[in-house]
Amino acid sequence: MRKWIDRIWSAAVVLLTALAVLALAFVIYFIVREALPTFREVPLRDFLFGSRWMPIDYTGSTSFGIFHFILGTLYVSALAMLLALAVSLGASLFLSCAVGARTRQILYPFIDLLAGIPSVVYGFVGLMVLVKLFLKAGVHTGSCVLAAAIVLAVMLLPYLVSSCSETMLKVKCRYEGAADALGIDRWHFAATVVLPASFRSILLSMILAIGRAMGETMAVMMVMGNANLFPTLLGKGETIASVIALEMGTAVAGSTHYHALYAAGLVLMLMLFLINSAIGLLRRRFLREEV
Amino acid sequence: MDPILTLRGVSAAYDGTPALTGIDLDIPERQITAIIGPSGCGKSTLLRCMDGLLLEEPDTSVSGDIRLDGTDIRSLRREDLRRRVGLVFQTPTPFPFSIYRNLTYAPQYYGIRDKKALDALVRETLETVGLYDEVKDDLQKSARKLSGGQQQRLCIARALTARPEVLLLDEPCSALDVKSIQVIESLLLRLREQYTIVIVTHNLAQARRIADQVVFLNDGRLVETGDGPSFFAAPQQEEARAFLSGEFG
Repeated sequence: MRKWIDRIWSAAVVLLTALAVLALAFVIYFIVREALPTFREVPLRDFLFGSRWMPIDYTGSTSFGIFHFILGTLYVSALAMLLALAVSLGASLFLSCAVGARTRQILYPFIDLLAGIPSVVYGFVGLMVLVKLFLKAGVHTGSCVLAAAIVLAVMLLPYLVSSCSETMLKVKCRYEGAADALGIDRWHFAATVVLPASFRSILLSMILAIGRAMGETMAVMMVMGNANLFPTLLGKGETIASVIALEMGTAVAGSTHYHALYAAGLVLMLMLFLINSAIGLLRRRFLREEV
Repeated sequence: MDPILTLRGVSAAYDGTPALTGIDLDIPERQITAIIGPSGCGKSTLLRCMDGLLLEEPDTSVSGDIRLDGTDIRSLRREDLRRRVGLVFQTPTPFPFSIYRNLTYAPQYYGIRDKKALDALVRETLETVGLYDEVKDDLQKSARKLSGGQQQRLCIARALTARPEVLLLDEPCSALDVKSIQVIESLLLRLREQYTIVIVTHNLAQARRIADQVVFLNDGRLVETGDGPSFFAAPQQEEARAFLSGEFG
């Protein structure tokens, strides 16, 4: 009897795991299958490096170049990452090294709460507050890459802070006594021991966050302006995710436009995969050379 | 010989629960003082009074007079006190840096920038703890890759880089194997020529092997002090006798 229960149990676990893997495999298969027809009509080079995106032939010829969208995606994600990383490293150090357990327990839920706010709300607040501010500051129409990056940075904070501060707290508990016994100042200790020792988990949390950043659609779309332009800090821009979200509904099924949007999705996926592998490699190198 | 550390009427309490009551104790210079007693008797608490760590902990109250070379430790600057009184913990905790950087961390913090002086200090402290020949070729190796015994010796070396007068050790051998324990004990006997050593240990045989002075605590009270050989040969107090014969602990 016992044996049978074990067998059913292990079969169920295997089945569920297979289901998860299959789901991923199907997503990839479907995207690749829908994306490939694009390249029968648009050369890969023109698709990746062309800057004219004219999916419908109002004005003569159609054109499918997503170069600006790729740049826009990278620009806004990297900028958001930079902003979020700076703030969250500070916040994590503060939470782990400066405050006591009681204060930490009060502050943590607030940061976790940030992760629970729907992205459309972030977009709305960005639109009503940030974009208006940029307008007042003299940016035409207010929507810009910087505004989107700021909104996105706030959305990334909880991911970065929760995993960083956890590691930092562990590191701090482990070495605090030794540093204290040497008379080392708390902040010097935080900067010279806690921060470098947490480097690897900072990289890990960046993997989590960059995925979120590059895929985020709604909030970014609401404040970035969505114009096919070469992205500049205070100019409008458009991300791959936004293009897909904005145009998929109107693209005629089976048209080049439709396939090109899938191809753009494929490119986004590959970019994310490359960035994650790069960070992963970096992380493994530090694992080996961990000192 | 004048004592380097003197404690008079020292009491300590965590959250109002007394951990030490009315301790009077002299720590003689350049000798090994072993603090023994059953678990929870306040050995570590007493040790942490001596370098003022306990004074900084929240929810902890310490009263009484603790003097280092005649000066009240409360009147010393925190970092001066820490430099003069080193502390080594039960589990070896080298920083996650290279061996070299572990040993230069405190001196650099205290303002030594000269590369040659740092090199000399690293070499000297490693030689003192008998680690130099074992690691001289890979000083840049991660300190975490050393064996447990080597890590503990590195931690002692790290404590010595601050040039302390007193070295406190909190059960430094309890996480180590027999061979490493022997190495550390002979190291402590050598260090005694230059440093005053106070060691908390639950290993009576160890206290017997290395202690010049033995301090026996029970229930937060100091029950008996005596020089090593005579304490172990003929303890004066009934409690100490019972403890030595293994009736409790």
